[in-house]
Amino acid sequence: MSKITVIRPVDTAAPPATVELAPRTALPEHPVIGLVDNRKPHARELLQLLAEELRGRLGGGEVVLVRKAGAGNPMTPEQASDMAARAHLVITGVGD
Amino acid sequence: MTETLTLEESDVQETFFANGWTDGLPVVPPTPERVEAMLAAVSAIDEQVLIGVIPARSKGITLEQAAVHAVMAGCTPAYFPVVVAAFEALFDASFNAHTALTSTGGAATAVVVSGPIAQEIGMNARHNCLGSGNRANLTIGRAVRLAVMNVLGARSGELDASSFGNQGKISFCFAEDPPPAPWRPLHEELGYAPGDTTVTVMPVEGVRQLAQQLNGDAEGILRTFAAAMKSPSTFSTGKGGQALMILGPEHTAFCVEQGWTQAAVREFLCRESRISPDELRAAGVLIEVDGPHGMTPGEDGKLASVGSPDDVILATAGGEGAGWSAYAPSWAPKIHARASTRRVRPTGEPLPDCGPDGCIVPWLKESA
Repeated sequence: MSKITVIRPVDTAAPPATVELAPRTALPEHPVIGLVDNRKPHARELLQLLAEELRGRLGGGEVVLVRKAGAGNPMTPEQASDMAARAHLVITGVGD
Repeated sequence: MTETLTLEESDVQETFFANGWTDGLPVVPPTPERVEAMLAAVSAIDEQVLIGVIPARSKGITLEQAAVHAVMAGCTPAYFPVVVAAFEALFDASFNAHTALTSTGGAATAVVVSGPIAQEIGMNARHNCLGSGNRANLTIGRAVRLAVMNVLGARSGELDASSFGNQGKISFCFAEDPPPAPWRPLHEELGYAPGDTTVTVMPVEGVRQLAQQLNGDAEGILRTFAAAMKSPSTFSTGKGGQALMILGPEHTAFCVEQGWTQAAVREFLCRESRISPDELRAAGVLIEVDGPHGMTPGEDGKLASVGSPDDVILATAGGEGAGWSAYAPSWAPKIHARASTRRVRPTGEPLPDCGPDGCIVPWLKESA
């Protein structure tokens, strides 16, 4: 039997720095609820239903909607910064 | 950093299968010596340099990783400059690898090689060029897929959510057969010099063979192609995608002899593949309202199946026969991903030093 040495065909780069979750702080009386529409079919409608339910439970508040250019496109840095500055709670993650 | 593994030679294949490092077929063991020989075919400043990255994933592929997968795929070192150019094109932001490699649509990465190097390394541009039988065609395309699977995580169970995939995901690579004058090869149509060789990559659905064997009228032939391009079951139909149109020799000859320029063919196919909302509805396709794909009819009352004439990627290939061409639609509308091209740097020409972040192209915001 003969031995052979091979290069492992894997990603050996150090994993990217993790992103810490935002601190879970108490919401203000009338929170701004941010929605990120990822442009999948019916994503906006589903998110808006969810936002209305949350508004009812939280006693009001403003809803801010951001639409990505398409499902295959990430949010632009400007969209992300704007949402971070305005919203107290952001909902996203809708798939097909 | 490079990690090696020493094992019994007889255990190599089973070890690679067990670790999920193959595409389901056996591979050539990537020994350091074989990888070094592959790297010698390009003039690299540093084998650890990133060819490119996907910023949204913080992942990239180094030159060495590309070489490892070229060895595994069965490439000879002479193919490696083409493999590198394919990765450079794949990492262009317009290709949107972040999504194109992972969508439920299951796109293959079509790799079109145009220029003299294709012939020099023995690629097949003729009979069966999209099928089996040619080492360069099969292994160059396979190297690309193996690397994105192992290094970028584009495999089922990780980031590849393909519902079906298609057989081109094993390898979809061919060479262009230079067309008869006055037509010019794809790389010249794209603005490269006659002596250049380019690699164009495009995320595509499965390839369709196009039969047109009785009609010698070029317009009639092109109408058959346009009909295929507006098939309602293609995801990008009516949403402005792209088309990889591969004209076979008979169809090319009819077009050339009857005075059609390549620009005229692209313009005709773009126009005649437009489709009305009613035609889509008749096929059960719902029209997006306020969706991302701009499904608002134009002045002609129709929707675009390809965004513009330049979105018809026109190549010539295939062997003589009864009259066949081939077509692969883009996997998605062009707002999601587009074909991308890079020039092959022949052995001896230095690769650029793109710095620690690779050759990142800023995200293209325009969606037209």
